[in-house]
Amino acid sequence: MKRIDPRAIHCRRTEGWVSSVGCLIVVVVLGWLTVRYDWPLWIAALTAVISAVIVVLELAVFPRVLYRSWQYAILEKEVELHHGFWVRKRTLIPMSRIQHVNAKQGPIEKGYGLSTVTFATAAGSHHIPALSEEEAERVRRQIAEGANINNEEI
Amino acid sequence: MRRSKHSPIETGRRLHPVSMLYFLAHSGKELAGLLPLIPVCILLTNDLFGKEVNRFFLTAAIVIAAMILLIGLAWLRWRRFLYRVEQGVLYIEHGLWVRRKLWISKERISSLDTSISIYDRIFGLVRLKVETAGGNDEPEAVLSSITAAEAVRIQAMLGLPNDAGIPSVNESRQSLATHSEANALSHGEWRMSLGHTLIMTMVQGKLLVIWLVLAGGGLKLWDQWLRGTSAWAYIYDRLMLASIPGMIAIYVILTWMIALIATFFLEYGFRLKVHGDSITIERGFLEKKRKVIKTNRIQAVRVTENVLHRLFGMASVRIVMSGSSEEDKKR
Repeated sequence: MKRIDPRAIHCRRTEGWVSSVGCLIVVVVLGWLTVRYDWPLWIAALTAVISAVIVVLELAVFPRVLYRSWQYAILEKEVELHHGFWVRKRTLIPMSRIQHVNAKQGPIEKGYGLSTVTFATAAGSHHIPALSEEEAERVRRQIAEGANINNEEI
Repeated sequence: MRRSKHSPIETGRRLHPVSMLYFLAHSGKELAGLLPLIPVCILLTNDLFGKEVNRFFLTAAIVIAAMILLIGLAWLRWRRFLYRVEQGVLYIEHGLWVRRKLWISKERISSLDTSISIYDRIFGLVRLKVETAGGNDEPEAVLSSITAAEAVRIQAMLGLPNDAGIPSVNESRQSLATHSEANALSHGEWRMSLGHTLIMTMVQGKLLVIWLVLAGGGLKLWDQWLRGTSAWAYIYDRLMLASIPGMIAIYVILTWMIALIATFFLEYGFRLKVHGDSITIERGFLEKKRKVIKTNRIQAVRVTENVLHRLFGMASVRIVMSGSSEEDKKR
């Protein structure tokens, strides 16, 4: 069992900063509206409290939770995923059932050299978040080789 | 690891620049949600400058800016779209803000579609769609606007029968003449004759019902709206001659005709070829479509005969594949 790349914590935190700034803008706009047009105070106050909670979660909690809650193993014949925080889920995907592999990289992830790898099977898709680019490439190759073994089955 | 070293060096191929049209349509669809921003922009600039700016010029400027933005985005999308085939794996890299990479190994491809849209036909290009059993209904990979030769090359590299060939522009013109011949059932090849196609479009019952329902709803709305305007009185006097039942009849016939022509264009020149372990289906008049299916990917075959079909001794056959759309044909 391997953990995802530790840089995922920083990456998630940066994303957290972005959404925090978004929250701040909303609060500021609401505050301005309250002063300018005499809106009731509770609207701005409530939003401020909710935003504060979101900011704390985004910056301090979620990045670690993301890192802690993911484990994966790429074995010779299957991919094993363990994830979830409250509810632990274990997923086992046989290599021969993987249809294609996707890698997705958002602008922030790109800065950290991470990407999210998705495996599509006939019945849905599974993903591993925040793998380093080299690791993603290795996983991808291994799957491609694993998929070739049993090409008679779908 | 062994090969990962040279893969970043070996860059992929780009699509034909014509595919910018495709990307334009795509980004247009995505940015349609921003359309309401245009009037907002216009209103805001008035506030910003403090005095009234010429409305016409302002609108024109914003529309032009939006157009430039759209074209720029399409160009960027085209620049960022790279693909290559190596060791039986189709690799595609694309995306503007979010970079997406996709790998499909040839064992997993369940169907390869090529279609020639009208604008592609001018340049002798085809659109190639790759589907696997995974994911949702839409094709996993779309290579819009590649040359026919390139499509053949990709098909060959992905281990599908290439001697069947991609319908080139010349061939598609030729086939217009030859399709009116009687259907030849030879060598696992089956062609639907013009007469059959006509009958088939006539008995396409389901489509017509949908059309009529939609059209009826539309008509009702239109009617209500018209009643509120003064123009209605003017038109009403003239059309009263035909009376309402007459108008309805005209409308029904009109929609039926439209549906008929639409299905006729879609199904025109239906051709089915069995080649080893793959089935090739070709059809279409304006947009020529071609689908290659591997037989071992077929999950089910469904044959249905409705009342109208039985009259002509026809049946519709549906091939169901996992994770993708199905084909429909009649005989």
